Amino acid sequence: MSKEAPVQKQSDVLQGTLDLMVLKTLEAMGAQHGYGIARRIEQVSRDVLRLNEGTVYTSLLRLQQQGWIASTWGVSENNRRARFYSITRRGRKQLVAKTENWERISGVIARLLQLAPGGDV
Amino acid sequence: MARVSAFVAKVRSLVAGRRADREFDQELEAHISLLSDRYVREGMAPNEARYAALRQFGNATSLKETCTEMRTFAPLRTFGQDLRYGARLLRRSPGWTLVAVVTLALGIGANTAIFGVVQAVLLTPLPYPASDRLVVPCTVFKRLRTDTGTVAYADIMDWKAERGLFDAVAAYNLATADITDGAEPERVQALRADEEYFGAIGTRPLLGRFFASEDNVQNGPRVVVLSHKLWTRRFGSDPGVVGKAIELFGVPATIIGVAPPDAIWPGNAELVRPLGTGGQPDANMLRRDNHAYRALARLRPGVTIEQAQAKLTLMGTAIAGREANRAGTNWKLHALDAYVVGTSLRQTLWVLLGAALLVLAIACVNVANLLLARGIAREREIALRAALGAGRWRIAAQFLAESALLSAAGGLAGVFLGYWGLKALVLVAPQDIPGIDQAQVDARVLAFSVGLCLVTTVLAGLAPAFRAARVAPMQSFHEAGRGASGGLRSGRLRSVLVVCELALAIVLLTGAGLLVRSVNRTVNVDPGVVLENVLTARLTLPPARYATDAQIVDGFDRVTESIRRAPGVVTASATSSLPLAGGGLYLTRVFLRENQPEPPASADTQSGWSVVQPGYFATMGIPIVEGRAFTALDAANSTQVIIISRAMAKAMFPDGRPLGRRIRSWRDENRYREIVGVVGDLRYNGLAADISNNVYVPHTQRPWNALTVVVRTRTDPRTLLTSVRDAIWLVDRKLPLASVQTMQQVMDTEMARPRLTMFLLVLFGFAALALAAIGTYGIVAYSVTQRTREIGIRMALGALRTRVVAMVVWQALRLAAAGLACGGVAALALTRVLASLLFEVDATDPAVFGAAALLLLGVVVAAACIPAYRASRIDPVTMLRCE
Repeated sequence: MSKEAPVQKQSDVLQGTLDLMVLKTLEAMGAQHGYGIARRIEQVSRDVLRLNEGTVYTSLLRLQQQGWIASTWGVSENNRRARFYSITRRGRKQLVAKTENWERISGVIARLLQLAPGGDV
Repeated sequence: MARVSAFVAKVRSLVAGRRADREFDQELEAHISLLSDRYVREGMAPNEARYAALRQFGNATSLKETCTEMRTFAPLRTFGQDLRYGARLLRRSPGWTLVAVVTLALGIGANTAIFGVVQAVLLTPLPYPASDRLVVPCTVFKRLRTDTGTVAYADIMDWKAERGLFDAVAAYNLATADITDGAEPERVQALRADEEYFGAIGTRPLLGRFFASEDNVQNGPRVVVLSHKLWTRRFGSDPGVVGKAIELFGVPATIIGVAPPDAIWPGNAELVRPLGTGGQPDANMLRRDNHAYRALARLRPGVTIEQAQAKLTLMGTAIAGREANRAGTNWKLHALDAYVVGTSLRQTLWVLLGAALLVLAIACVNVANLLLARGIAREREIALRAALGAGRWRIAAQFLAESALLSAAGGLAGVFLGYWGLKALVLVAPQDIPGIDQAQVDARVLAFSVGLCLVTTVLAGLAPAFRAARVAPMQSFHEAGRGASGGLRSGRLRSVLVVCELALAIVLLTGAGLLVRSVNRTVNVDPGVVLENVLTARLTLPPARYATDAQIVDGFDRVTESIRRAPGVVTASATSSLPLAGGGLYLTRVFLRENQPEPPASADTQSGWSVVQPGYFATMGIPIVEGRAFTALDAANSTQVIIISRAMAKAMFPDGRPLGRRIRSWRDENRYREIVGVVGDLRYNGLAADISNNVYVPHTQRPWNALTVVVRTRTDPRTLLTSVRDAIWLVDRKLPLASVQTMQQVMDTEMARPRLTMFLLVLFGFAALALAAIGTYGIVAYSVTQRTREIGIRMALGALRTRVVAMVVWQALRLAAAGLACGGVAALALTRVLASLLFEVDATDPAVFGAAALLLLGVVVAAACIPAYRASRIDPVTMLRCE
C-alpha cells in the first residue's frame, strides 16, 4: 500500500499535463497514431519525462470522449491497422485556453520559486 | 459541455461494447509491434525487442481495464454482472426462489388492486369543468351531529346573495320520473333544478337551451332537459329532438335542450325539470326549518373553500342566534368530490391500502430473512471474494441485485395478480361506490407498482447487503473451518426481523378482528322487522290520471288488493319509505304534545314520518306494543290518527300513557292526531344507525302518490316477481315498477361495504399470519441446524427429548412475546383509525386483542414444532462420531 500511493499521486498530476501535451502534439504534427505521439513526447522531453507509454491511451480516450480529438483507422509504417488521431476545432479552442492557463500558472509558480527566503511578498 | 459529450460517448459505447474492446486490443498490439520493430532496428534480437517493448509500454492489462471503465458506466456494467450471477443462483434453487417471488407477488398484487380502487374512487377528479370549485353547502345539526345534505330554501336565498363568494348557487331536488310514452313505461332518476343549476355545473347545452328564470316558476311551462345518456338511449341521438314532446307521468312535456355527457350531478339523473321556486316564494318555503332542498354552488375563482366557509360560519351563527327553530345549527361547505365519496368510504379505502402496505412490508421482511439465511450459507464465498479484493460495495451490490431480481419477478407476477384482483374487486364491490366501475390498472397504478418494486428491492436487500458487506474474511474462514455456529450476530439480526414480522402481523390481525366483531354485532342487531320473504317495489301513480286524493287512495287500495289475490302472496301493503335505508321519501318532522308550548320555551321532539296503508305492520312483522294498527275504518274524514314507535312514546310521554293523547307537527298543518297505537322500534337509517323515533300516518289521511309496495310471500319472494307485476298491471297497464328488491337484499346492500372491508382485512390478516409463520419457522429451523452439535452433546449428557423440544419452542415463544409486545403497542395506536368504521366495538376491545394474540401464539408454536421435533430426533452418537 505504502508503495502505491506516491505513484498514484504522480499520475494525477500528470493527467492534465499529459492531455495538454497530446493536444499540442496533434496540433503541431497533424494526424498521428498513439505510437507516434509517444515518440514525439519522448523526443521533446529529451527523456526527462519517462512514461509508461500506455498511459497515452487513457489520455487519448479522455480527449476523444470530450470531443477535442477525432480518430480514423489507417495503416501504420509497418503495415498494421492503427488508429490515427487528429485535433478537432473544439480541441483547438481548448488548447488555446489550456495553454493560456498553463502559462499563467507556470508563471506564478516560477515567480514564487524565485522568491528569496524572508523576502517581502 | 465536456461532461455531456463524455456521457454521450458512454451511452454510445453501451451499444458498441465488445467491438470497442476488440479494436482497443488491435490498437495496443499495433503500438507494441511498432515499438519492438524500433528496438529490432536498434539491434536487439526479436524476442528481446518484444519484451523490451512490453516493458516500455507498461501494464497493458491494467490499461485495458482502466479504459474499459472509462468507456462505460462502471457501476452499471458490474451491476449487469451481478444480475446475471444472481439469476444463475436463483435458478439453481427454484423452490427457494418460488417462495420469495410468490411472497412478494402477493404483497405487490394486493397493493396494486387496492390502489386501483383508491385511484379510481379517491384520486380521479370529477368530470365537471373546474370541479375543484364545486361545493355542497349543508346545514349541520349540532344536536344530531349530522348533516343530511338537505337545506332550507331561505338559506339558499342567502347564499345566492353572496356574489362575492359564489359564481352560482343552485337549488335542486332529487326526483324520479316515469316516462310513459313508448312500448314499456320506464322509471328514471331525475332532478328538479332551478335556472342556476347548469351554470353551477359550468356547462353549456349540447342542443337547445337550459332553463331560464321564466321556466322556474310554480305551475310554469312543462319543459325538460335531457341527459346525454337518455338522449342517446331513448332518442337515438336525434339532432332534431329539441321541441319534441316526452310523456312524463302521462302528461307531455317539451324537450328544450340536451346536456353534454357528464354534465349532471348526481350522475344517475337522466332528465332535469324546473324546480319551480321562482317568483314570490310562499311563507312555508321560507321557513328556516323547512329543510326540503339541496344546494350545489360554484366558488368564484380565487375564493378558497376556507374563505367561503369562514363567511358562511359567521352568517350561520347569526341565523342560529336569531331564529328559534335554528338553534344549534350552522352551515358547512363540502368540496363536491369529498362529499360524493363520503368520510367513511374514504377512511375505509385508506385503511385497506394501509393494510395492504403492511402485508407487503411483512413480505419484504420475509424475503430479507430468506436472503440473510442464504447470505450466511454463502459466507465463505463472500469471505473469499473479500479476501481477493472485492470492495464492500461490490459485495453489497450482489445482494441488492438478487433482491432486485426477486422484486422484479414478484412485481411482474404481482401486477398480473393485481389486475385480476382488481377485476374481482370491482365485480364484488357494492355498485354504489362512486367511480368504482372506472377502476383499472392504468399507467398511474402501474407507476405505483413499479415504485413498490423499487422500495421492495431496497427493503428486502438492505439488511442482507449490509450484513454481507461487513463479513470479515479472517474470522469467517476460522469459523467455517471449525464447522461451528458462525452466525451468532446474523442470528440476532434475523430474530429482530422476525419480531418485526410478528408485530406487523398482530396489527393486521387485531384490525381484522375488530371488523369481524363489528360486522357480527351489526348483523345480529334486531332490525325490528322480519326480513325473510318480503318483496318490495316502488310505484308512482301519475297525477294526470290520479288527480284527486280519493283517486290516489283508491288506486293504491286496488293495487295492493290485486297483489293480495296473487298466488303465493300472504299479505301486501304500502309505505312511503322502507326501513334499513331501503329508500323512499323519509321525512323528519318535529312534534309537540297537546298544550305543549312552542320552542324555545320547550323542546320539540324529532321523528321520522311514514305514510302507510292498513296491514303494513303485519306485512313487515313489526309488533304492535300497545293499542291497535290502522284499519279500513281510518278514513279520510274520520278521526285523524297516528301510530308512534316505542322510542317516540318514551321520548314524548315519560309517564308511559301515550294512547289517546294528541300530537301535532307544523309540517302536518298543525293538525292534531290521536295516538291509537304504539309499535316496535326499527332502524330506518340502517342497521348500524341509532334507533330513531318514528310515527306512522294512514294513507287515507295523507294520500301520497308515490309509495313502496311491500309484499309478504309464502316462498322465495324473487320467484313471485312476475305475478306481483302482473297483479299491478291488472289494475293499470301503464305503471312502471322501480327498485324491485327483497328486504333481504336491502339488508345485504347495506352490509355490502362493511362485509367487503371485513373480508379484505381478514384476507390480509391471514396472509400476514402465514408469512409470519414462515418467518418464524425459518429462524427456528436455522437455529436448530446451527445448534445440532450442542443439542447432541446435551442429549449425550442426559437431556430428555421433551427438554430439547421445550428449549426450541421456548426460543419461538420468546420471539412471539417480543413481537406481541411491540405489535400490541403499535396496534393500540393504529386501530384508532378504525374507530369510526366500527359498530358497537371499542377500537381497543380487549377480547379482540386477546384473541389475536392467542392466534398468533398458536401459529408461532405450531411453526416451531417441526424444527423442535427434528431437534428431538438428533442422535447424539451419530452426532459426536461426526466430530
